[in-house]
Amino acid sequence: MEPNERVNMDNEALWIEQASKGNPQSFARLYDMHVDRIYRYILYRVSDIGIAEDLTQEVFLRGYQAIHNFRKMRSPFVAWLMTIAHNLVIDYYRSNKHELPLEDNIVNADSTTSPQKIAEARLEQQRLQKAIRQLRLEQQQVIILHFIEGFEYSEIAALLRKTEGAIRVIQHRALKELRCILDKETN
Amino acid sequence: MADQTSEILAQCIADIKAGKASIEDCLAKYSQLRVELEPLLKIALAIEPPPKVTPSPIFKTRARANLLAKIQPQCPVTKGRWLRYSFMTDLIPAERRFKMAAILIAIVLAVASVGGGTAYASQDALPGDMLYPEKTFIENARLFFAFSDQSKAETHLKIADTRIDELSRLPGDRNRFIERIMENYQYNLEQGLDLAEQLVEQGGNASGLLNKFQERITYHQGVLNTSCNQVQVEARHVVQNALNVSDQGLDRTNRMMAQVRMENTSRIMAQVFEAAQAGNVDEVDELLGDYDEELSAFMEVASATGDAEGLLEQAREGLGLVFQQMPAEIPEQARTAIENARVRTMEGIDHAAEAMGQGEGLMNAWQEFEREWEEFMYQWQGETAPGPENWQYAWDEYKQGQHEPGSQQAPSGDGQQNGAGSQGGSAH
Repeated sequence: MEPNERVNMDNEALWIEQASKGNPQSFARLYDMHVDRIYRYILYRVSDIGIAEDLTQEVFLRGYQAIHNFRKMRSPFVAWLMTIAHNLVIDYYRSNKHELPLEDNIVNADSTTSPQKIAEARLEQQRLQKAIRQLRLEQQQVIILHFIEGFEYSEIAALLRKTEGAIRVIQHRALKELRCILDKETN
Repeated sequence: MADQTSEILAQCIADIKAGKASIEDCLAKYSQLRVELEPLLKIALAIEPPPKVTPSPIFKTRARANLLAKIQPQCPVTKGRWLRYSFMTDLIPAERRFKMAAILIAIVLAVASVGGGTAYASQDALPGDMLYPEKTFIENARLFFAFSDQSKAETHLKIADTRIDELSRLPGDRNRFIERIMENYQYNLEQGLDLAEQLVEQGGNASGLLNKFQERITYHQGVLNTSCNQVQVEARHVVQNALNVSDQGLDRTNRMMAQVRMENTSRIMAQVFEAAQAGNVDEVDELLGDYDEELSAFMEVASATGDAEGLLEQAREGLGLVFQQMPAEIPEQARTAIENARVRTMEGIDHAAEAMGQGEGLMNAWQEFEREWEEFMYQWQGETAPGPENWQYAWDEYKQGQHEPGSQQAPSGDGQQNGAGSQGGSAH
């Protein structure tokens, strides 16, 4: 672990402790630390900037209200926030049954990449993203947490209260399902 | 098989992402799974995090401000707390209140006279003043030289008092010190209460100390409530925390006081038994008066805790055992009075517990019971009261409305009237 990362982890632990004692300023620091990732996670799931913003705010509000529960868990704080985000996304889809249009600006690229490559990459990512959103919710969560957010299997397992083996099985099934969805689209 | 393939797939993804292997290496290694693994690996490796997706700075700032506005602690309504306090002072007799005020004035004068010396020049210092470190040094020295648990507890309470005083006098431009002041307040209050708890557990005389804690914490809550509304919004949660700690501290103090009161009732009853064995009936009556006072004081303090029902249960069990120790060979008049006290205690506790179960307050229920018992006892004025074993029967009859004043009395256990000439329990 890099020294800066260690300092951040220590600070995070302190802020969580203080926030759980009712210190809003400490929670605001946790917000600063994680808002980008939570926003990105939600945006990937809903593909609408306005909705992602609303849900991101809600995640932090609920996180503050439930922060006492986090202390009993062994997963990273940001992953815990993501489960709150995940539940909010589920609620969102339940109350808005229609599928949302994809946003063009989710996929950005380096300014040196050619316009054709950017367009191809954008299309490919949009296709994948759309396919991921058709997976079962648990599969979506595992795929996003592992491939998009880079969490270890052990961390996802702690978060979802399953064994690491079960997470790898879910991942396997999710990839098979993705293959079917993408094949159907191609055909 | 699915599990095994899942493990292999996960291992291949990890190796390829870490640069330890290529897709082709994995497929060669697990050639029997090539058909299944190849498309899955390609999909897995194609999933990339969307780069450079960040919320707009305007959104982040606005959302942060919204969040803070929603989670900022709200100060409690001061009136509620002081109402509770004024209710408690109403329960203290005027004479006792006067004595308490006189003691307080004496303490203030003593502190003022000592404060005149140069060694105490730093006593008024606030955090941020040059003399403040000296002030805290003197506090630590006082703690160091406080040898008994009682004096240590008192010193911690005094330091907690000082922190509250500092909070009330802190200028607005020194709000940054509030967190430290409140942390130190909480620390000293809790340390003091821990020591008081030890003293109570060891059976020491902790009543005076607990009274001090009760008085001072109630005062602290008043100052904290006022400050909570006056400090900057950012510091409000710190004061709110201190208020929570003082609330818990007051509850702890009341529980300890209830425990002390309960032990006192047991101790007094043991003295009653001794006096009864010695044949000193007058002393029995006098001690039973003390017992009643202590029992009422227990009810009063138990009612102020968050676990009045639990304390009632403990009292029922504890005092039940105490009454079982009543000696066999004692004068009948004393036995009659003690049995009267036993029935009154047990019935009173049961009545209070039942009333609390129906949502009534403990003190209301207890006072209601005392009035009813007084009425019950009034019926025996000028008549022969039930004998030692018959108070329970008489009370049960009274409760069922079968007994009419002056018309009959409870039969004795052996079918004979009791003619001890006693007016029942103790003369109060």
